[in-house]
Amino acid sequence: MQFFLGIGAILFCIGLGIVLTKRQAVMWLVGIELMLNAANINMVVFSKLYDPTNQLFALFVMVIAVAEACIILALLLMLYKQHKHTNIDQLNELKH
Amino acid sequence: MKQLFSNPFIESFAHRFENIYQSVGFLLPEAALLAGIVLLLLLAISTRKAYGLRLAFWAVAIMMASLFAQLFFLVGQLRSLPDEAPLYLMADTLCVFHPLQIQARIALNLGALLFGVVFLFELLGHYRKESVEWLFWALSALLGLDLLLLSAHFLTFYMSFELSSIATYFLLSVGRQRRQHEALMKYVLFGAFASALMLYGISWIYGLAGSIEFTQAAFWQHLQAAPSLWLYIAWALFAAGVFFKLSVVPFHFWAPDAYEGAPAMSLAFVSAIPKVAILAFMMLLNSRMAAFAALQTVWGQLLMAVALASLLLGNFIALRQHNLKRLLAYSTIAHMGTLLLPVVAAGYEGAEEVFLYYWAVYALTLFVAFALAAQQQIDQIADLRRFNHTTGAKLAWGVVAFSLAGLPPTAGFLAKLGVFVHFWKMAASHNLALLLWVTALLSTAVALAYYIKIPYALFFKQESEAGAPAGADAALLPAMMIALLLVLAILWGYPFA
Amino acid sequence: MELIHSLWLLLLMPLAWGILLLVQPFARARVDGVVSVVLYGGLSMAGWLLLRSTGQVPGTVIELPVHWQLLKTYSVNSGIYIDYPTAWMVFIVGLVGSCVALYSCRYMQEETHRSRYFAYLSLFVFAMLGIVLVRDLLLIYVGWELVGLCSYLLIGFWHERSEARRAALQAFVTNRLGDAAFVVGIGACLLLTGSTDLLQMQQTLPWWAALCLFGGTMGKSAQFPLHFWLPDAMAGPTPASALIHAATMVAAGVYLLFRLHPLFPDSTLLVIAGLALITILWSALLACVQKDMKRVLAYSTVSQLGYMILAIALHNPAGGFAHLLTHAFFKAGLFLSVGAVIYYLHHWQEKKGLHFDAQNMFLTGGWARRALWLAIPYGILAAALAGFPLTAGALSKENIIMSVWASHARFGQVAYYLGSGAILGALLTAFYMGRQTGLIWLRPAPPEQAAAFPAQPHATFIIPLALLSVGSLWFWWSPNPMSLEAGAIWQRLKAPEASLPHAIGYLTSAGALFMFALGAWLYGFSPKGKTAHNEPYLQPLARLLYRFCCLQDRVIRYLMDVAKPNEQTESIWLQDRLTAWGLKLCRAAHQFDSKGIDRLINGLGKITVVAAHVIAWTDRQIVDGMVKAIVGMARLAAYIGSRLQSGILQEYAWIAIVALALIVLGVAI
Repeated sequence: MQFFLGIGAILFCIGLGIVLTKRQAVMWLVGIELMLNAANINMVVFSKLYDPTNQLFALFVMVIAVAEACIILALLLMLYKQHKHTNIDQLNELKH
Repeated sequence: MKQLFSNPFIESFAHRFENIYQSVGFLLPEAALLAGIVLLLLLAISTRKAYGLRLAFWAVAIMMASLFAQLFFLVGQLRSLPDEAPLYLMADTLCVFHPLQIQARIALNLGALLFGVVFLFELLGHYRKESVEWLFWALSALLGLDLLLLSAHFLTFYMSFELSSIATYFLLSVGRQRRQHEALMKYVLFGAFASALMLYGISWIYGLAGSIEFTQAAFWQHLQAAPSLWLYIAWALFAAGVFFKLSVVPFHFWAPDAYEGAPAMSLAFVSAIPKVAILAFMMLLNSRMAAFAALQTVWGQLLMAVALASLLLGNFIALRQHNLKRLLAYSTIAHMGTLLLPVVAAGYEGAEEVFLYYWAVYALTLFVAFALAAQQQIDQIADLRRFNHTTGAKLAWGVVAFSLAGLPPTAGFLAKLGVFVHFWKMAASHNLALLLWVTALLSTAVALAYYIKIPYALFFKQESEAGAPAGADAALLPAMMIALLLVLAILWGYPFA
Repeated sequence: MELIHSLWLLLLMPLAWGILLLVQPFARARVDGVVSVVLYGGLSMAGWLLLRSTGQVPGTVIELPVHWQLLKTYSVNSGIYIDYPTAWMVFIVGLVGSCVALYSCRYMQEETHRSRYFAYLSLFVFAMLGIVLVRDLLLIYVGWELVGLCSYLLIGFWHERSEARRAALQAFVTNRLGDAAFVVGIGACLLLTGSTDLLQMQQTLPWWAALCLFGGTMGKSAQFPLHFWLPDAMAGPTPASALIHAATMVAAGVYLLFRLHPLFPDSTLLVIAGLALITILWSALLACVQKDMKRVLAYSTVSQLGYMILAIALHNPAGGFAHLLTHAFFKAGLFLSVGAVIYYLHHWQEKKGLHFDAQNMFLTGGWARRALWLAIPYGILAAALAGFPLTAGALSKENIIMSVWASHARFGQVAYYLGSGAILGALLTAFYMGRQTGLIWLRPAPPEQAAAFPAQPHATFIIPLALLSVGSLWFWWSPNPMSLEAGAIWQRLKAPEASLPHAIGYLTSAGALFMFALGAWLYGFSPKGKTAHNEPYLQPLARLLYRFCCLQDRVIRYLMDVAKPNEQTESIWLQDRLTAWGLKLCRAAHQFDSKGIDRLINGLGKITVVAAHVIAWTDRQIVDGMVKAIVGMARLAAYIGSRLQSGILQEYAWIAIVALALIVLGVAI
């Protein structure tokens, strides 16, 4: 069990690391997906321990993740059309 | 796998169905909303022609009808609540156990109705192509928030949370503003980031508590027994998502940027309505936690630290703002700091009333502000000094500034007074709470310095600095009515007496 | 619906009229002015009737209670409450309001936004009545904020001038500083006594709560160290200054203290008295060196408000309140007469296309000859302010000084220091009024203004001035011209039993006469060989020395003349007694006078100028500077905070995560 929790934690940290360091908005999406999957692993592990029905949580999370990915990708397309890049560190017109 | 199809599971499933079947009556308000959403969707896809004005009015009519139906059912539910120990289990994952749940849902409903009215007038002035879409997303967000209040289980909580988030992402994407993409990108990415943190936190809370049904006493007992550092981390990660929705420090960053780029009418919805659901949800959590002092202390300290930071940061940064929308964003952050006070002191009598009244005044004021701001050109919003208004709108702005600052003779004063008087009960016996109380009081004085900018810019500007005159102020009528209400409200005194 | 319910009209009519004017400005007709005059005139009549009905039997009150359930456990009596002082306040607000409105009909005639001006005026009257007609601190606070707002709008009325905008903001912010303390005080009242009703609170408050409540007075009545906004507030229209910044609004702070002082502990009252004395002397000194004629009056207002507060703090509410009323008459009148001078100068200046500061007293003169009809009321009013016998000002101010002197029975030796300070303040008051009288009215006009330019009397100027100056005579206030004790106010307001030392009052009167004469002589008359306008611009002390030397010069010349051996005159007696040594001294003095005097005069003049600058500098830098420092710190915090919002999403995520970790750490520890 610790092993899977460890994997979850590592996945989460990798996801967080990507979010905190990568300039590309797409990478941000990847990082978030990794974080969501880390949570999913935890969920499945704990469900096995306590109540198997709660594995359903992971299924719902996947659906939500897809929905979010759709929105972000659509947004990225629009952004690319307008700015010709998707680097979030260059998106700083709105500030202070 | 074997277990999945075993008999007890099927039985429990059957039991659940039974439960759902019995409690369908309690879900009528949500059914009304859902019907509205479906009708709007049908309306949107059934017309091949470009959206027409008539279509937009139909959409508003559908929205209003479903909202009124919901209100009707909600008021019925509120009336049928027994006085002592009201607890209704509706389904395993949704339940009503507290009058605040129904009150907050009514507040949500009324807020959305108001949005509909202002939107209608706004429609008369500037016809918008995307109006059906707009109302569709508003209703979806409302449904999500409504279910959020009913949730008794982290799964339903997460689902409804995401439903409202996604709906608000779309709500902010409607319309065509300069830099809207950037604003939206920041909002969506930051929101997804916060919700991922929250989900990971929830998964650990599950691990620590052994259950995700947070209405059960066992859940809290196990949680209290959990090793404290893990608990703090899990709980703080969970709080990240909530803080994002509330736009409080340190998850407030999206607010100013998103507000600047988003259309004013969407902001009228996003800046006011989700907050009541989230805050009421936090108060409900607090009431479940009441029996577990150690947990409540930690949660209370976390909230107080966040409230303190929000009050200071929101009020001080707002001093530097010239852009009206950014100003309102920082003002929102500060107001959320104030609204956390009754949440922290939820254990003391009267917290719900104080909280609902404060929120109602704040929401009404923001509606006026954004309805008026919707009439302005972008360059006018970017610099307060270029505002151009009729006398009526100037007076309404004056009321907005006074009400946000908490000055008499507006309802904002009463609301602030209620919060401070109520929080004093806690501050009198608690050091951190006293610090928070004093900070809140002093930051109110700081806040005046920037709220006064609005009437100052309107009444004392050089004539040559004024921008182009605004278009037909169709939303002026409801805005002025609400402003008048905000002034008259002080005559009634505190409505819960 | 009984007749008594029509009292609500007192509040409703100014409000309705103000809103009507805001929404529907009258473009051409002089409707706004005339209706305002009639409205406020009606108010003063109502005040008079109320005064009659509450004044007959002591302790009579008229009340229309309305209970307003503000919070669950806290209700506010928001009805109308009228007792004798309230009736006086209604009367004064109505009377001065109607005088000012009538005066404004001409003064503001050519303004494009005249209707807005009258609207603000009307809203102000509403808010001011809101302060005096209620009996609950919370409602007083509501009115308090509203008068502050109206004052802000009126100071900034000419908002195209940057100094008017700045002054408006400064007044508002300074008042907020006081109000913040006031709010804390109200909260303390609520927590300590469970009520904010003025009549229900009985127990003495702790010193900090009392000081907080006094903070409200300090802001509104411009008391040291929050006094600096009032002189700057003179950027507003003069009639508005007469009503708001002289007669009524600034007196609201005194009125509040009048109502609250029974709740204050003696130690706090002594501190308040000390602050009041500092205010009196400080602003009186500053008034002696001003060039701007309105600023002289503004500093004088600050100083007179100090007298009222001094009296009330030392348990003489009757004297303080009487001074509030008499001061409303003569100070409003002074503003109106000085305003007329400014009005005519301004018009003449516009006609000639000249540009000089019309409010600078040193750039004009000779107005007594030019407009005697204006000079006579000014004379009466200035005499009242300076405290001449037979005027209302003398009655109330000397009553205050005497009662301060007599308060040693309760407060001990410190009463004598306070009393001496108050007398010194009265002498300074007489001096700067003499100075202003000399400068504007008595000394000859500068050559370019010497040719008569029109200052025809207008009824709209004469009537208010006549009313106010007749009101500043003694017989309305007390049949005995030498003491207030025969008057109705003293008898109704239950003055303390202590007998007053009348000799002090007579001495002060005599001193005031002398100081007024001194001021008028120094600034109104030039020594031989000098005209008013080639005399150097000098501060009072240097000018005094200069004049003294001029006199001495003549004496020495005379002595030198008689000492000449070849001219035998009748003063041979003197010659006999002038030894050679004496002769030498005279010669040396003459030498010194003719050679060294200029240098000396210049040097001393510089010293007093420097002293005046030092005072002004402390005023600006230290007192104003503290406010500025707070504002600067807020700015810095805002700057640092807004740098966090860099616009880059990744930094937001970093900060959020780090902050979250810090919070977890903090909670864990």
